[in-house]
Amino acid sequence: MINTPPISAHVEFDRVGLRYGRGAEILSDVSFSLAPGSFNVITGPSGAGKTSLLKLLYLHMRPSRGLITLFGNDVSQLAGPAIPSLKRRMGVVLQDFSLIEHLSVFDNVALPLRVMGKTPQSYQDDVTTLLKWVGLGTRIHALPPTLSGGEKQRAAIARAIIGKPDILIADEPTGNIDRAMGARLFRLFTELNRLGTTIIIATHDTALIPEGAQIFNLSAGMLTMELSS
Amino acid sequence: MNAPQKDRYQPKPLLPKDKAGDRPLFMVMAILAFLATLTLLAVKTSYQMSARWGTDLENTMTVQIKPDVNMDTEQSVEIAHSILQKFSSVERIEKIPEANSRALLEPWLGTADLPADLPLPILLDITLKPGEAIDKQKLGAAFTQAGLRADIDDHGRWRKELRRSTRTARTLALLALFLVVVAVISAVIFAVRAGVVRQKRVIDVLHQVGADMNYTARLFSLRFALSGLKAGAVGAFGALLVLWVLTMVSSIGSSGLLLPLLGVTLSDLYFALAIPVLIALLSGISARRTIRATLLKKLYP
Repeated sequence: MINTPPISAHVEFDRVGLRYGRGAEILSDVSFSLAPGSFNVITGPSGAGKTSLLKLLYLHMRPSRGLITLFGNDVSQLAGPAIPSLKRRMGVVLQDFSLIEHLSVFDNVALPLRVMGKTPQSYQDDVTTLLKWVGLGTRIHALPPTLSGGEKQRAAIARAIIGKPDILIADEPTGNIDRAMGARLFRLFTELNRLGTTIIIATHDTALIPEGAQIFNLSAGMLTMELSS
Repeated sequence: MNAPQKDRYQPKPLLPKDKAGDRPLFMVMAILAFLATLTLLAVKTSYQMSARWGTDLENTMTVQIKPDVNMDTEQSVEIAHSILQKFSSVERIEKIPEANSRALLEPWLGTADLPADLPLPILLDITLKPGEAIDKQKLGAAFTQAGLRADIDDHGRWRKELRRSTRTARTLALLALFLVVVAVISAVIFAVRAGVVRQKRVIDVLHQVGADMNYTARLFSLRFALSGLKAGAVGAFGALLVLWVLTMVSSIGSSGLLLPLLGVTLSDLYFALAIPVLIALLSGISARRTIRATLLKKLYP
């Protein structure tokens, strides 16, 4: 059973460590807290553990040690079947976009609403409006294999936010697109954040980080924090 | 480009239709259904056949009246006839024509013309009322008392042989059916698992967007059950079709005396219908179990 008490932080990591198998720790004693409506960026060189940290966040794997609290719930105490309801409160954009190839852009974006049991008629206007907002108004019926990298990225972002999640998690969202498109995406994230969504982005591209964002530097599995100016 | 029409819009199925990769799975299930239907009908036919043979032997007996110089043939038959009619269990008495009796001697005496005055025993084929028996000793005593020298053969020796043979045949048929059912179950489970694994991308994405385990399990179990039903129907009705063609071919010039003529009856149709339903259930349950096992590992590993 998931509790929804009044919470001061959406996410709390307390001395979290992660290792794959018997290897060395990828993350060591990672502790941080993310307030609702905050804009957070995790930076660091390739292989620093950014993607692993995000995987812990969106419940793709369990930590080797430490405590993760999500929306006030100690996730180590959650039974497997309770996980999907937490996942529905998070929108995730992965590096490979994870679009279903035989479904149109529209159907891919509508997927979170569909699995919640909503009827097509109830979400049709919302999906169309959102697709126009992310600049895919003319690509509604297109199939993912016909989209460019930037279009796939925006479709994945639209799918991540269509269910109005409390948290948006994006892993290297600018990795496959040009700088202009990257800047446009960050403006999109800033706009979402202004509407109340907590943003967590892993990127090595620090030039695009907006003012006032919390920056977490991850290096050799250790995390340090600063505020962008 | 316009948004989908609001009144007509239906989202595409989450699992792609008629993907080329589904064909081998469909073929495997159809072939299994074909084999299972043929085996099931073969078992049913073997049961019917042995029952018919048993009934034929149990309901008949043969009386052999030996030639007697003091009594002519017609008189012997008349006396035997009148004695047999006194037994209430006798339904029909038929004298086997002399020509047939002579034919029975051919294996020993050859096809050369036999002398017309060669005394041959008279054979009477007796049919008893279903489920009734005759007192062999009482009948023998009545023949002796009437001055007839008669042998009574109630096929007891053959019945024992037949029972033993049919029991063996039925056991073998049931064993074959059991093995086919085990093969069907194993192959369907294996094929469905392979089919589910090929849809890994869809499972991953559904998991990522927060689909409940039951939602995904229901999606896959329905899809695979429907696919199993279709493949099972194709296989089962294919088997019926083959059986019907064999019936047509085997009925040409066959008397059906020893082996019953093959045939597709209404009950065969019911038996055949059970196969697609079984395969659909197996496929659905197997898909559901595979999805649940996959997601339980994936939910929060």
